Amino acid sequence: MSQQKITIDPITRLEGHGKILLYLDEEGGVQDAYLQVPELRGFERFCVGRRGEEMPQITERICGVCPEAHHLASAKALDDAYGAQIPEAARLQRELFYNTYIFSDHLLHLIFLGGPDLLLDEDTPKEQRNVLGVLQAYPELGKRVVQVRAGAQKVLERIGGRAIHPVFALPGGVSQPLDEEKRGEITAYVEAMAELAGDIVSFFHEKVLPDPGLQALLQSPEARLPVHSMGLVDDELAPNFYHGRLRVVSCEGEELFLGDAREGLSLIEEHIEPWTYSKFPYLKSFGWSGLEGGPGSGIYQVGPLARLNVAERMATPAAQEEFERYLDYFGQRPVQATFAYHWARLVEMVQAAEAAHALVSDEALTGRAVRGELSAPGKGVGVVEAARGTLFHEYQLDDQGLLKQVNLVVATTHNAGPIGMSVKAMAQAAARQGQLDERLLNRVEMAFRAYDPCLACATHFLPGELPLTVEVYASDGTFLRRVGR
Amino acid sequence: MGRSFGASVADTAVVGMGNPYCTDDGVGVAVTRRLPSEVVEGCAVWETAQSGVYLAEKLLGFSRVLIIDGTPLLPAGELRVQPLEEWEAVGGEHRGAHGMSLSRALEMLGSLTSQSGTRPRRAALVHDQVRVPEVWALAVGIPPDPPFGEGLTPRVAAAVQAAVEEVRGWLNS
Repeated sequence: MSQQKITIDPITRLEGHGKILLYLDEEGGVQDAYLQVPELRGFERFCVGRRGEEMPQITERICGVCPEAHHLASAKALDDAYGAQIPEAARLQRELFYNTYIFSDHLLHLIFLGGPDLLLDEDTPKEQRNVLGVLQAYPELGKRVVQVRAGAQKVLERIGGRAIHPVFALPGGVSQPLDEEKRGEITAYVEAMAELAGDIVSFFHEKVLPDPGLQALLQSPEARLPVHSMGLVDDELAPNFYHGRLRVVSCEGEELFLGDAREGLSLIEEHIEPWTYSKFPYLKSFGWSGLEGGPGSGIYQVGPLARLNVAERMATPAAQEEFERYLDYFGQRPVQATFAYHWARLVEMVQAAEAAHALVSDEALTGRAVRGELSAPGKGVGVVEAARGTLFHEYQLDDQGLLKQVNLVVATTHNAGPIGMSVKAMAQAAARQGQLDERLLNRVEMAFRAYDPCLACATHFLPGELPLTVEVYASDGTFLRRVGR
Repeated sequence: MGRSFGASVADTAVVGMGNPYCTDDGVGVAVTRRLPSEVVEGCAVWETAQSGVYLAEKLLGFSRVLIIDGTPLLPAGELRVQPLEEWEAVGGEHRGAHGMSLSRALEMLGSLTSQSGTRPRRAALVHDQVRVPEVWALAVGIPPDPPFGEGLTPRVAAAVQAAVEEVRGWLNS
């Protein structure tokens, strides 16, 4: 018997959290793949009994990646729980803040975090296949990204009240009006965002997309996943990151749901496997049929690729142009190429920058009324599109405004099934080519990274990490080799 | 993020890292909240749940930074102050999302300086407006896997005042 076990283990400061296990069969092929994600149970329970209005500050502390998303999902859940209609100026502040966050987060992933996959050849030596390698290849772009992200950070700080953990969103609106002086200050930063977004589109088409390695990845049959897609859309069926209706589209392009986003949690159930704490959400109308794709499966995905699959158009002109190029390239909808996540992220980044530019120019942004009336507390659901996908916060408040029940469903949890399936497919392909070495790690990591997963959100615990090592064992447990970085 | 004392544009930052709603994980935040204003005169004092590149970018522009964080690598309540890269080299990595340690993120940003290669030991300019700081770590030993909740366990709580004195010493060094 020559079965082997390969462990891909994210190194965390907390022992044993999060890893990928690959089991090889006798022929050396990948028999199965398991993404193990721990869940630090108890966060929701910890929140019960606390005052509801604390939640925008508490929930944003569970994630060092997207506190902005948790802050606003929480505020929206409280808006709903208190039956509040937020004033126009408050909505504009929130949307400007949120589009700036989406732009900045997508920019970081496109150039720095996903950069090794997108901007460097797959055969780039290990020691150069990292962010530093990207910066050595494109130093001027790197400097500009740092500058523009610093400007975006100023926008988040000016509106959010703090640079890291925002404090501005409250049930029924925001804490204070935005004055004209602040609008003037942040306008320059937002203009720089829009300008860079346009330049990166040109860079992508001139320098990145023509690369044969990227072409191979985008067309790779093992990197195609026929799963359903979920995301928020506006009235014109364009993606909206902050609010809108929820739309679910099947892997064959059929609309499965379009309605109140607060009903989204009623569409899904969560499957539990004995080998991981991570739950696997699926569309309950299909039932659970294992980690398999196809029209009969309930597995669905969220995030940039899914959002573009549920959209019929983009909300802004330059994003629409790029969306059309994206659709022309793939030639069919929905797009199922896992590595299209990167391109979808680019399309969304352009929309976010354009939307922010329009919002900062809106006369009503500096309106003085920023807090709506609150009614008696009850149940509330807040839904936003975090950079990584749909984020639900569901609270039940008692008549004193204390939390009786808390439920968070985050993007990386939605994507737990698709990530595991993608990792398995890429590992199988690598193993078929005899690549049980650094190339296997590359392939698996690239599939994992395309989703930009956030284990902090999935586990409700810091830190969310991704470094991988691969350990290969014989069936008798003998250590054979380690591949890592 | 938190307070700024004295200077309108601070040159030094003291950053408490961790989640204050996760018991001992929040010891770094607890220390920053106990810092007397006269100790941090002229400093920016922040609390953060971020690390890696997300935090590194926000540290650009400072000359010196002290990160205060809990670690299960030390016995509960034990303190250690040393340069960030030395601390990370023995396993005390302040990793952020996507697996990039804070030190590596700073190295990345340092690579954008006119001097190619790794992050300079002392603060250096990326360009006219952006400076990569010198970063030190104040590690506070905590038990592994702290649960959700508020407050610190007794041995960790007992170390907070000593940690404040370490911050005072570092700022005066």
